[in-house]
Amino acid sequence: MQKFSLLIALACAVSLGWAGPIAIGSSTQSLAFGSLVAGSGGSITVSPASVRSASGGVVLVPSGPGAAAQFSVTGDPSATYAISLPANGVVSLTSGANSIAVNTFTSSPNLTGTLSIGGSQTLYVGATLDVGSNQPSGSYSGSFSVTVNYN
Amino acid sequence: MNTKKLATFSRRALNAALASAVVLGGAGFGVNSYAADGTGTANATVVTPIAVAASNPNLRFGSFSTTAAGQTVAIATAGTRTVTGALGLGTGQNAFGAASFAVTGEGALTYAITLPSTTNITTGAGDATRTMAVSSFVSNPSGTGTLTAGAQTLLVGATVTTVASQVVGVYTGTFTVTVAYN
Repeated sequence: MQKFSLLIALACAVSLGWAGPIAIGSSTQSLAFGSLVAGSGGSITVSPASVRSASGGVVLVPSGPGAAAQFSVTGDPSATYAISLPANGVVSLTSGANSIAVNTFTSSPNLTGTLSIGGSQTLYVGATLDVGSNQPSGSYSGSFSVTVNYN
Repeated sequence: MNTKKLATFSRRALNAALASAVVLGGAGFGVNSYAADGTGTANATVVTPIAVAASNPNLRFGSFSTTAAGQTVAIATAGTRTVTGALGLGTGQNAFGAASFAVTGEGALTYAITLPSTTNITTGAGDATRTMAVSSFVSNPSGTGTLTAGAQTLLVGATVTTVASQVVGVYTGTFTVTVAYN
């Protein structure tokens, strides 16, 4: 039994050494909702492909375009991993005392990523900004967390 | 005998416990090692809506006399008047001049200006002799405006064209200028 226990311990150590940790850096590009006129309020969505769209009374200002966030994920060659995005009601952007909620996060790849043979993948993240009626003008900013984990 | 059995059982239990601890420890360490968090930044800019107030002063062609169709009176954005065929008259309360619009919005953003292609001014109701077409709208800035500290003055001129047997009177009408953020 003692030898068996030692073998298990060795097996664990070997498997840990074999699998390099998965890593994800800070966003190399911010999730940008761009410039907008709040109007009667509505939402503005930026897709993982950086396509920006508005609904409701929100008007997009073309000179301030949107962009999806970009993350670099690295780890074992060809490994698959699970992607966890922020839940609704967690993330908001603030400008002084004013805030705007960010919900409905989306990503590409979606849910499960696969690292390249070189052990890396770019992860794109979009979301929806829920703008209030007559939202005060200003530069709003915030942060969010993305978790990746080997499958 | 009883004592020996007990000792054996204890050793087995201990081995099992050790094995469990190793496996659990390995699993626990693995979870911490494999998951990673990345922090993303996000931003948005909410800008003041762009607006354009009613013209003040209005576009004024002033007083003129006309003798035939196709005579024109043009007002440049600088407010100067060019009369072709017709005879320009008077200043004072019949003064001519360009329309001035106050555009307001956000900071130093640029905006697109859309002018009407044509509109009519009329005196009373009736036939075509009580109507003149206003066209060839021009503006300064032209095409694209640029706000400075959220404001800019937009000057608009145009050309009015007479018809034959133009009825004497005061002709009025309206036109629409549209601004939108670029």
